[in-house]
Parts: sequence; structure tokens; C-alpha cells
Amino acid sequence: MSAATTGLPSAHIARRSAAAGRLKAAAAGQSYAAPAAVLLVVLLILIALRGPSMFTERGLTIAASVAAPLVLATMALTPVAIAGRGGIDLSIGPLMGFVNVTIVVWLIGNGVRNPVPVIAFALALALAVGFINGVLVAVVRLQPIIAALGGYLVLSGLATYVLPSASGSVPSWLSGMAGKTGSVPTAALILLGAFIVWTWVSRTALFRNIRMLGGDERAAYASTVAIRPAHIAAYCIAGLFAGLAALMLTAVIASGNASQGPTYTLTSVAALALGGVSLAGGRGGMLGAVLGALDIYCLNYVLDTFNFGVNAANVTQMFYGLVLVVALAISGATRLLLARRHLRAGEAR
Amino acid sequence: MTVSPTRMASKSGRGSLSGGASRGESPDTVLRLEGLDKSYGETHALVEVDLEAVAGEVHAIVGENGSGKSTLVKLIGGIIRADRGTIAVGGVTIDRPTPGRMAAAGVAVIFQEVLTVGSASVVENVFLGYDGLFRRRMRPEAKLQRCAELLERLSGRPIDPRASVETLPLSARQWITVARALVRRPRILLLDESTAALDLGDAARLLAEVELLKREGTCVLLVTHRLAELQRIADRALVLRDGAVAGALTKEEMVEQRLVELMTGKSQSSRQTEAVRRSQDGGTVALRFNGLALTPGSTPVSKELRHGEIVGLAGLDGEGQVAFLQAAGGIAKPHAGVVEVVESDRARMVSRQRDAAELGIAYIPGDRKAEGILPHGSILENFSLPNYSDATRLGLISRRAMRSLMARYTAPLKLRAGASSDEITSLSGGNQQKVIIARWLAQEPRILLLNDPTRGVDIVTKRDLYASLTELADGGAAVLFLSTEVEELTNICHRILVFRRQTVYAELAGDAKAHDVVASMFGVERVADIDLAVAEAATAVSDELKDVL
Repeated sequence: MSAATTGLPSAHIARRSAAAGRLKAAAAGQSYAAPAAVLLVVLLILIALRGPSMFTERGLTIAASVAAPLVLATMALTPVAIAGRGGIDLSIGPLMGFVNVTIVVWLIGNGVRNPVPVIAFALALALAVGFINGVLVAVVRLQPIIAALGGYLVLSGLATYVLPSASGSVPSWLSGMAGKTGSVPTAALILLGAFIVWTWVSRTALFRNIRMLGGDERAAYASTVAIRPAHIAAYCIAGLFAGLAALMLTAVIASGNASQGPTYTLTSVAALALGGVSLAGGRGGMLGAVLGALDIYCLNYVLDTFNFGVNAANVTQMFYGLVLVVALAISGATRLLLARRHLRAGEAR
Repeated sequence: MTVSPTRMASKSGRGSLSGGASRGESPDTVLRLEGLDKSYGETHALVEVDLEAVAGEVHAIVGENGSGKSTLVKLIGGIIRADRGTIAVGGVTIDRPTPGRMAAAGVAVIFQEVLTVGSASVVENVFLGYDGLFRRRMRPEAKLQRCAELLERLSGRPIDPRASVETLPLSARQWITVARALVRRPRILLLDESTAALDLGDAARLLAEVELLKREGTCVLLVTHRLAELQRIADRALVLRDGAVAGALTKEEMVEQRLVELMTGKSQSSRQTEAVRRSQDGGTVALRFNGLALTPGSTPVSKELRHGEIVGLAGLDGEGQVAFLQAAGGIAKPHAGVVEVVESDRARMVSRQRDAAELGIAYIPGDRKAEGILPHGSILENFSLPNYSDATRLGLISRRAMRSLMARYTAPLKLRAGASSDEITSLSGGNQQKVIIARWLAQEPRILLLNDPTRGVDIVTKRDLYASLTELADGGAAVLFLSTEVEELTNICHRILVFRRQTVYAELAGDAKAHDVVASMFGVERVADIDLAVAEAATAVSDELKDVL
């Protein structure tokens, strides 16, 4: 080697051992969720101070059950958001409501009470709706927000048509999903299962394709990623998680109620954003979605310990908005500072 | 060095097939385009283009901006489909081409635009699209290893395969797109202006890689504006003009005059003379750099830029010339020191971009995609952005005044465009760049800063731009001109500042020889002291100079 090549900036990246590298990369890959994690710790401390009854066996069971539909709904939003094009699937909430009323009216109302057909029906129905959404976006090339808005209106309407007012009952195995298995909340087990499924999904080639698509669709297309199937797959994954969310919702309310599902729409979007999942695509993952949803639940819980009386709902909503904006502003500013420092360091090299 | 001689020799078996200029049927024909025709609305972008390329050759595609090169590249890559005509790879006609089908047939394209996913890691970008939709084709560990090896070999420095791409400089991202094409081991490799984002040393390394691939029997299609590159490695060249084939040249026929004749369709007897340098003793100081330290620990720079002067900035990628230019434009703060605009014995500091604009400084960015154009705006809107106040009637914008303002400033650059209300993206890259340059010229700047404005711009347009710059300087403007093409600087600059290690390493007179500039970029006395690959590139530069002067 002559002087000229060694003069190039060389070997500034130290080679690390493979294991340490992987660990560091994994941690760096999840750093987007750091603000949500910090917020969760703060909220849990607040809960310990103001409403420690959550940390009892009964309190945890209720907390896990009530939080589960929101966590699952936020998880359902994640793949579509990551796939890009500004995909915020507003129809997830109404889809939960639609699945809820159809299993209560069409299946249970007609004597089908066995877990297997009920669960299969709920997942298949939600998957089918996800598939249709995916086709609308990927093949018909509707803007995702338009497809989502259309889905929101149609599904809310259909759900109310199927069951105009809240009624019905559910078999004990279904309401039992809001109870305990041994001394562990069943909802927590279901969430754990969903998270494991997700972890597996996120390590597949398919999910990598979805993420790259969301990061830069043109680069992905030019590099032969199959755009349409990847987009449709993102919506199908979303549908499956929405179906699971609908089952948990049904377990918690133990009846059919067309108006319950849509209430998850904006809260889950807030949870998603709080969890650091970029609504512009390509960034974020399920860990962020879960933490964001838990943040929203805990925030709600903390606010409930104050007595806002008739204003409770308004105050809660206001705080969702405040926390969302403040948290994202802080994390955005931090990232900017880090990026500047990184840039300086780069120039100094 | 990246290419060892033994490796070249061992693979030279098929190399003997290359270099042939025969046009007839050849058993080695790997790519055949027949009658490719493509229109965008009114614009007939490609007219009945035929091309035949064989294994083990470097086949260049050249033409002015807007001659249809990019359209041809997109067709071969499967990004768009031709209205008529066929593409056959290895004798098999590709039905309804898509990027996936073309890749499956063995075609890999490195696009001019550096297409990377910023939010993803290096290894993910290198293997983007390599896996199937559901199945992995290579174990993650194997990918990491292959990615690290390939990038280190290509770029000459280690690049962490797990790093996030958005933290990397443009040249590293360019290497990623090269590696992405190479991991697929293509039969046909198409490089569209791939050396444009690379500095001289990097470009030499890429060309060495191209020669290696050629010897291994790959058919390499090369789109380039750099004449030196063309003459050095291309075996044949297809010249496009106004979307049609203007001619095909063999290696011996590739001289500048012949190329320019075919590209423009004009005989070069009336050829414009090169921009004339004039002596610049009389100009008053326009811009003063006072103890400017670009990074902590770098040697401070104190320089003056005079009215009527064009000063060139040269250097290898990332040696400080960009930071220097950006400090002058108030875009990036230097570590220490100040930049002052001198106005009739009063000096005013440039510390923010807004100061710079008020003080008559215009900065023309190099990366037009990121910093220059509004992709959804019209040509007129893109031109008008900073110029609205110059074309108002009673406080309202007058479109007519704006149009005439644009006509006045784009005419000298010979903008090739349809209606001014067309989207800017309907123009070819070089013509987009002309709109951006005209935008800033319309500000009548007293100090003009250009950050590699001719990247991806053809020879004819470059000459038009040089003429405009010379005219501006003659009118009293002070010009700082950063370029990655050394011959450009030696053509028009009065002085050249060569950057190395974040400071001015040498100051050369404008009539310095290109190889002297190259030598000081590498911090050596003579070109001969530079190592092999770089020396080759440098010799090619001086050969071209002989040709031009």
C-alpha cells in the first residue's frame, strides 16, 4: 500500500466481536422506543404512588384485560404504518366492533359457542377485511388514508346494522379471557403469545421487505422487491391482530356493542405515535407499539385516580394529546441533537 | 489495490472476445434491444432505438441531457415499459418487463439516483430485493460477511454493515448501490452515471472493478458524461440524440470532436471557444475568510476572493472543500473563524444563511434532488421560488413577468423544456439543474457559490454554464466553484484551492495542469507518486487535456 491509499480515512470503525455487535445492533434497532419506555417507567411510578391497587393480583388481571384490546389494536396498526405511503389504518377500531357484533349475533346468537369456530371466524373475518384493504391500496392504488376512511365508515355502519344497540352475552370461555389462568392474567398470556408471533414475523424476509418498502418505495421497487404482495401482506398481518383485538374486546365487554370498537381508533393511533413508530413508514416496530399502548393505558389509569368528575373524559383526551406532543417533541429534539453531534464527529474525522 | 494482476490474468479467457466492434450476429450477444420507442405525452423520449451488446465488453451510452439516456436505462431496468419494441436477454425476449423480471434474466442496474433506504442498515440495503418475498436466500451471518468484504474492497475503507445508511456520506451510499448490483452476479451490468457521486480515487476504483467484470465475461453498459472514463474503458459507444441513435462509435472513433458532433448534430467547425481566462489584478475583495478552521484541530484558512474572479475548489471526497463552501454560504458553521463580505471597506460577517442571501451570496447546491427542486412544482414555480419579489405588479405575482424573467436567465443556458407550466420532473436531470442554476442567477448575485453544479450534466451544457460563469465574473461577480472534475477547474478558474485534511493544502494558478491538481489532492509532488489506480485516472485526465487544448 502506498501513502495515498493509507491516507484515506481507514479503520475508523473498530471491528467488534460478532456477538457484541449483534447485541449492540439489536439495542440500537430498538432505540426508537426509548421515549415510550421512559414514559412508561414514569407512569408506573405515578401509579405506585397514587393507585397502588393495580399491583395486586386482581388489579393486574383487570389492567391486563382492559389494556389488551388497545395493545392489540396498536399492534395491528404497526405493519401498515411501517409499510409506508402514510398508511394509518383508521378502520382497525370499527373492524374490532364489526367482528365483536358478528360473533355475538351471527355465531353465539345462533348457538355456535364452541371456541374453535368462534376464534377461527373472528380471525378469518378480520384477515379478509385486511386483505380487501390491502388490495385497495396496493392494486387499486387508493391512498391508504382514503381506503382506511372508507373502511371506517362502512364497517361502523355495518356493525350498527347487525346490532343496533348493545346486547347479547358470551360463553364463559370467552369472558374468561378477561380472567386468570392459574394466578396469571389470561390477557397477559395472550399478549405474550401475540408478541412472540410478532417477533417471529418481524424476523422473516417478508417483514424485512415491508420495512424496506416503507423506508423508500422507489428504491425497493427498483431493487426488485415485490411491492404489491408485500403491501397486501402488511394489511393481512394487521387484520389478524385486529381479529385478536376484537376477541379481547368481546371478552372484556362480554356482550356485543357496535359503538365500542371505533373508540379505539384515535387512541391506538396516539399509542402508535407515542411508541415511536413513524407514520411516514420504514421505522419502528412492535415493541414501540406495545409500549405506546401501555403508556396510554397507564396515563388513563393515573388520570382516573384524580377526580375530574363529569370532565374525566375530556381531561383524559386532553392529556393524551399533550403527552403525545410533548413526548414526541422531546424525542425529536434529542434525535436532532444527537444527529448534529454525530455529523460533527463525522466531519472531525 | 483492489484488483490483483493474477486475478485478472486467470479470468482473461473470455476477455479476448471483447473489444470487437462487429455489428453482426454474435453468439455472445447478451442484450438486444429492437425498435424501442417511448413517449411521455407530447415528448417522444426514445425513437426506435436498437442496441446489441456482447459478453465481455464495455458498451457506453452517451448523449446530451434530454437525449433519452435515462429513459433507455429505465427501460432496460424494467422500471418503465416501452410503447413498442422488444428487449431480449441472452436470446430470450422479456415479456412485459418489470425490475424483478429483468433481474431474474441477469440484468442489474445501478441508477444515477442513489437509491437507498435511509432508515435501514447497510447490509439490508445491499441485499435489498435479494431475498424472495417470503424466503431468505442467504443466511444473515453470510450476508454480513459478504457485505463487509465487498464494500471494503469497493470503497477501499471498511464500512460497518450494521450502520444506518442515513448516517453515511453520499459516496458510501453510492458504493452500497454498486454492491447491491454486484451481489446478484449479473450477466449485464448497467451503470448510469455511477461515478458522478464519487471522487477521483473512488471513480478509478469503480472503473477497475468494471474492467475486472468485463474480463470475467460480464456485459457492462456504461452511461457517462466523463470523456476520460469513456476513452479509457469503453469498447464501443452508442450516441443518442433527441431520443434516436445518432451513431455508434468504436474505441478509436471516441474523440471529443466526433462525440460532440454526433451528440449535437452540428459540425464542430463553429465550435465555441473555451471560456477565456482574463487576468484579475484589478478586482476588489468581495469575500474574506479569516482564520477559518473547518474542524477542531485543522489548520485555519485565511483567503480572499475578489470581484471578477473564479476560484476553483478541489479535493478528494470529504477533505473540507464542501465545508469551506458551505461556511461561505452561511449554511454550515465552521469550527472557528469568520467569513466576511466586504462592501466598500466595510466588512459584514456571514454567519447564517439569511445573512448570506441579504449580502448577495447565492449558493447553488450539488444534490438537486435533496436541496434544489420541488418535485411537484412546475418549471416556472421551481425557477420562481426566490424570485417572486422581482416579478410583481401591485404586489401580485405576474406570471407573464415571471416567464420573461425565466426566459432571460435560462436562454444563455439553452434550457430544453416544454411549457413552463410542466412539472419540473418532466425534464431530464441536466435540464432540471439548468432551471436551478438560472433560479440563482436571476438573483443577480455578487458572490456565487457552486457546489459541483455539473454533476450529471453533458459536455455541451457544461460549456454553456462555463460561458455564463465567465460572463458573470466579467460583470464583477466573485465565483467559488467546487467541482469533482479537475479538468473543469483548470478550464475556467483563475485560481484553484486544493483541499486536504480539512484545510487548503495548495493554491494553484488557474493555468495549472490537471495532473498537478490531482497530485496535490493526494498530497504528493507528482502524479507518478500516487498509487496505481489513481495514476491511471490521472493520466486519463491529462490525455483528455491534450485532446481539448
